Amino acid sequence: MDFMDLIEMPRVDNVKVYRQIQNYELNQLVTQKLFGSLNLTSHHLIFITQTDLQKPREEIWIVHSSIDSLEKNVTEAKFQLMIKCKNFQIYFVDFPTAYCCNSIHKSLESLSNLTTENMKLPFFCQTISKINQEDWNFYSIEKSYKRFFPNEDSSEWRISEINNDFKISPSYPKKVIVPKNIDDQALIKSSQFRSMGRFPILSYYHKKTNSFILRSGQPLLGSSNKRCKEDELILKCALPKGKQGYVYDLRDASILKTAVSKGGGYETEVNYPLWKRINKHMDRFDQLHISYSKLIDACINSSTQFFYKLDTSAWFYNIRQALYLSFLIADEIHNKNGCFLIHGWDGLDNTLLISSLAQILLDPESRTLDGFIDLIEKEWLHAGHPFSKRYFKSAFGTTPQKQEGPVFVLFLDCVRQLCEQFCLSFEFNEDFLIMLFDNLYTSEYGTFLGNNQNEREQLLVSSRTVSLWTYVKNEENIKKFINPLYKINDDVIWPSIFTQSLSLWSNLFLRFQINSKPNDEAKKEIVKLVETNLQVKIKVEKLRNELLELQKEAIDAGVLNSENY
Amino acid sequence: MNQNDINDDVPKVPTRTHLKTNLNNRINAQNLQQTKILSITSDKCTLENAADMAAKKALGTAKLGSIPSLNTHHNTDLDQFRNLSISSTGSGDVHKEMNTVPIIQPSQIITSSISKPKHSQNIIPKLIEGEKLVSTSEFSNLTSTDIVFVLPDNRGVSGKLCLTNFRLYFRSDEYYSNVLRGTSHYLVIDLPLGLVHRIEKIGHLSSKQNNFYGIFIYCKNGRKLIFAISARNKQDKSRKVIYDLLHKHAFPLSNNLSFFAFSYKQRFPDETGWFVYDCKKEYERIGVTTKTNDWRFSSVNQDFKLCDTYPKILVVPASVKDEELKQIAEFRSKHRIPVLSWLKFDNRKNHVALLRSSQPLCGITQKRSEKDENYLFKIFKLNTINSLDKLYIMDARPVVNAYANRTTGGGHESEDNYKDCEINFLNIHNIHVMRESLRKIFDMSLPSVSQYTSNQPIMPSNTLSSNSSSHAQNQANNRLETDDDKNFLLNLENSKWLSHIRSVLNGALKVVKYINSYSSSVLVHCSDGWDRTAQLTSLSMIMMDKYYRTLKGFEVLIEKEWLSFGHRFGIRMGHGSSDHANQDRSPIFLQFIDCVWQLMQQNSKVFEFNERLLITIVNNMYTCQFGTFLYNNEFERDKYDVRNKTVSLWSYVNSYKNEFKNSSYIEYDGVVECSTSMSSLQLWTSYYFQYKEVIDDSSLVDLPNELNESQKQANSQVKMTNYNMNTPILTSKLFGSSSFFHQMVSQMKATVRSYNSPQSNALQSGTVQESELIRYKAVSAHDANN
Repeated sequence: MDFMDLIEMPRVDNVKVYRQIQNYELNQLVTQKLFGSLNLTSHHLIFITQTDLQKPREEIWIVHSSIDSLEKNVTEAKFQLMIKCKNFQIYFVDFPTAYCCNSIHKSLESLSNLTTENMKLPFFCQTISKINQEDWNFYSIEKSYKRFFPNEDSSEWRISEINNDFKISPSYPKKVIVPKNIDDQALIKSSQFRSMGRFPILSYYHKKTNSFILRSGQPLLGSSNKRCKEDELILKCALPKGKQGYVYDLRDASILKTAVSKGGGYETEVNYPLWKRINKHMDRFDQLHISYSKLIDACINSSTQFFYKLDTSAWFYNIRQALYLSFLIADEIHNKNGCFLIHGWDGLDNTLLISSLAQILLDPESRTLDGFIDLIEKEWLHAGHPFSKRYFKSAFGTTPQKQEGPVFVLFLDCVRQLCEQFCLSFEFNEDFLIMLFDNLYTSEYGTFLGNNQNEREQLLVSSRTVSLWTYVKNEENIKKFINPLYKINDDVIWPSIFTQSLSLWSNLFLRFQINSKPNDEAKKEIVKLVETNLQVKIKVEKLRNELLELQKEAIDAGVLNSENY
Repeated sequence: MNQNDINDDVPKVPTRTHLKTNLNNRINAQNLQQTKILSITSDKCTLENAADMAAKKALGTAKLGSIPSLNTHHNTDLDQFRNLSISSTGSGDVHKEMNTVPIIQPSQIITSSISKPKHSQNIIPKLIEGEKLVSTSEFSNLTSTDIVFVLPDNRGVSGKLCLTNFRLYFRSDEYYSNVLRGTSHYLVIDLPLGLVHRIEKIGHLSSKQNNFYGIFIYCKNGRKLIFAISARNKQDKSRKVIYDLLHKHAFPLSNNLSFFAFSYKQRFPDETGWFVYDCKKEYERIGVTTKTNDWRFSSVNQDFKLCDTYPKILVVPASVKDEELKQIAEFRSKHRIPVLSWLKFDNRKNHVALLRSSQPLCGITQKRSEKDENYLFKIFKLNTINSLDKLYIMDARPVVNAYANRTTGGGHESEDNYKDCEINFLNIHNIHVMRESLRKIFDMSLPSVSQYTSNQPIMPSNTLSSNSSSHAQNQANNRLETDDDKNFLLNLENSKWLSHIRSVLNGALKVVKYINSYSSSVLVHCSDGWDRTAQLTSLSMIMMDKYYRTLKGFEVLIEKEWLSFGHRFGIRMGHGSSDHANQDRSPIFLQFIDCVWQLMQQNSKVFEFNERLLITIVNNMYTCQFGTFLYNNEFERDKYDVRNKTVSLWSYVNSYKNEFKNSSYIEYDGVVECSTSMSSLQLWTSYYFQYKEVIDDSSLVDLPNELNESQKQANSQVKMTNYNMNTPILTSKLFGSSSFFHQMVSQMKATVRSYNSPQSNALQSGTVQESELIRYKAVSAHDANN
């Protein structure tokens, strides 16, 4: 199939476009009306305003994959198409005839819903910058291992290459960290016992207390109550003496029976005597998608009962729950001697959310820019979070398969809540998180393509597309993402998780409703201040030294009495 | 949180707080048969606990570093704690010993540091000028007895109580460490008595139930304090003594005493507070008699004969004689005739007027007053810019209320009789609605774990643990925690507070629109013209006139529109009165300040003053420390000679101007507006939840040290001279509020300023000043020459 087959009408003239934009002079939002022509290319919908002597020509580029939903409103007098984008921007396009409206609608409908990975934008954007292999290999499991266990010999853990051909677990990376005295055969046995072959692997090791977080898929007990000696052995061997193990099951206790009847299950106390099971409810990704849609709806129609709508969206409940659960883990790991195995259903969504949030609380490294990228690579990309499926549609749309679920958006929002509460402890800033959000749904970079490492390798992503980190690491860009107030904080951070301490991410969810100018100015101001502060300090230091020298000189020369100073 | 979670089969190592409560519950159970078993478990628990604490403290002290004295204190604490807990397992003595403290159950006493009080002498706060200890022999006996302050989550902290004619002061016997912050403090409750809304005795001595015996203090700012009082026997009158004394000094008006402001004799560097507002000067600044002669000063109210709630000097159209004013007054509620508040001039010196009054007394019979109609017509004619237009009357009330007021003799101007007027209803609700709305906001308080009393400051009460013995208590905690917090947004919606804020702001924006965009004169009134009217005129004046956005201008605005025009502060705040159920109390002025805060959030650069000023004003409005907000109008303030006998709040504010200045202020000539969509309005948590301490302050550790230092220095300066309301630096940020952000910026600016100043702080700390440096340079140059 070629793109050109999908494009019936490459160009339509006499089109009106309405959109909300910031008017910087009036300092408020205005509806902008533009008149011009619409052009359809393989990846973009380009609107160009008519040439006018008074106004410069304006262009609006909309990537097809950024279109979330299309609504056609064709009446006798009006041929309108409403384009809702994944970044919450909404355009209204008035066409001159019903025919072109229908034609464009049809083309966009298919262009914005392309499922073939090979036809996606990143494969056509290799020229934006040079493909840099280093950025594709920015994360490696060896690096994590070294960080967790500086001294390899005394460590109880090893890197296993059992999944090298993605046969054991298609959603796992090639290499995983497992207990040292478990051989690969046991891992294979265990993988057969775990959902999607996701046997327990090490996610985080807390050096200060020698506690750790493991994650996996649910055990496949089934109604026949199967057990797997090797799986039990892994958990038994992993747990050092004097530690208490907890299986953190992110499902409500009430649905465990259903899980068992569907072939899944939970770790029974009889078979895992050293581990205690804790059931904590997290909304599943499909419920989260509904929550997300309601949230965005509340933000767009905020005139009446705004807080009521926010409440019913349950988005804050989800943030609070996610922070709360990771808080409990961090507390147990840092202050007591708990070790954790986290899983939900398949261990693809909430499991990763909780384990990565707990790491942000516990690990100062993950609060740096590089560390955070590492964390995303390790806990989301390499851990097999199905990015292609989950972020195919955003708040306005769904697919019949209902595989959407903004778990990573929830993660970004949680991180932002933390950034807000600990505004000096994070090296990156809110803009970085918003940039991640934007690239999550539609991107020129290949990082978030595919559902796991296996798929990415098959697509040859690393040799055919540019990594998002190449963009981030660019000297020009990196400045935008650095928090000027950052100061290394080596401690664990303990956030407040009450709803009243949480805030709506207005710079993202209300990005087309609120005026962002004051905020931008404040940010600039801070950067400026930090710089002056630094320079002044240097100056003072210099003066002080000069003073001391002069004092010494004066005393030596006998001009000053040393007793006085 | 799912309620099922609690019932899970996952009892495990509970968190620290629960260990303590569990331990105590067990001791409390006092079941002798169980003592042996318990002794083992509790012993184990405490040891774990102690080890844990040691680790925590090590962390704390590592951060403290420079304060070795505190470290030793910690250690002794820990040792004593260990000794005590081990000994407690031996016999049942502990129960007896603990029971002598208060009637409240030992399970509810915090045991993070059980060591005995080291100083049994009285604790006395640093008194301010004119503050005296309330000394009766009975009370001073009491101050050496233990009083237990009960935290919102029903745990207790024992300490000493002290009462002065200005404040209630409580200090815990022990240090409570905030490990995350690396500090330790006494838990101090420092409550100016002016804030007391209501005092209640709770519990009975005879009651065998698990009740508190003590007093419950409701504060006007939503704070709720419970003190459990120890009573050895039924004859013990301690509670009565405390209650009576507290009642006497908290409600001076009801007890025929004078306000504390009359005893407060603090001197300030700047003592011109009472002269901030000069009526004539201010109107001349606006342009009356200087830019136009259409308006004149009238001294018809010189002795408050025309209207006892209006100021002495009124500004009226030059063409209207004093005699006519008297006749018009007959037709206006409380004789509050339409008078000038503000003038807007255009380039050609034509002007538009903003006026205020009370409702006309139309009544059911739809009475008319030709004088009043003529008067408004004359005012309308003065508008020379837009003479084709109308005079707009903004009735702040909802239409229904305006109609309903006819039955009590009031009403509104009808457009039939007032030919050149158009009436608009702004749909702002009355004082009772606002009072109830704010009460709901205060009810949203959380039983947060205080930062001082827990090693785990941010942990909500329900944790992984579930234990049958403390199950009931856990459930209570859970209910408090989850309901309040889970329904936070719903409660916020239901309180309607932000909707009310929105309607007030919308009203003011409408006034601004008519005056500024349509160049039409506007008359604002509600029923009596001292609540909603004052809100609307003052807000619209802030939006239109940059002078009112400066520190001085804001003071003038409050003096003018609120104090001189008779907003009934005394009655609305209930100064010194024990009649807490009085229906005339209402937070109208607070609502105005909230609206200003909303404006500030959206236009951070155009205000010369900062949030701290707003909080200072609101706090001091209740405390009766300064005379500014005492009584209801100028007439009463004159009667009691407030100007000469008390200190003005503005003397204090103007003496420490830098504290209240916005570091990013840029003068702006234009009209300041704000978005009133619900998503842009915010809850002013830094005021309403100032005592909830919800956000973990450990983020304060984050602050660069030197910034923190300069802040502290600044704070201590304020504390020396004024009772500091303990405004938290970091407050929870709801929906994008950026108070902390701004705090950071101003702190940074302060450091930059201090470094840049000629007598740099930094150089001072290097023992020598810059001038001396120059001298050295000269000296060394001289040496070199030789």
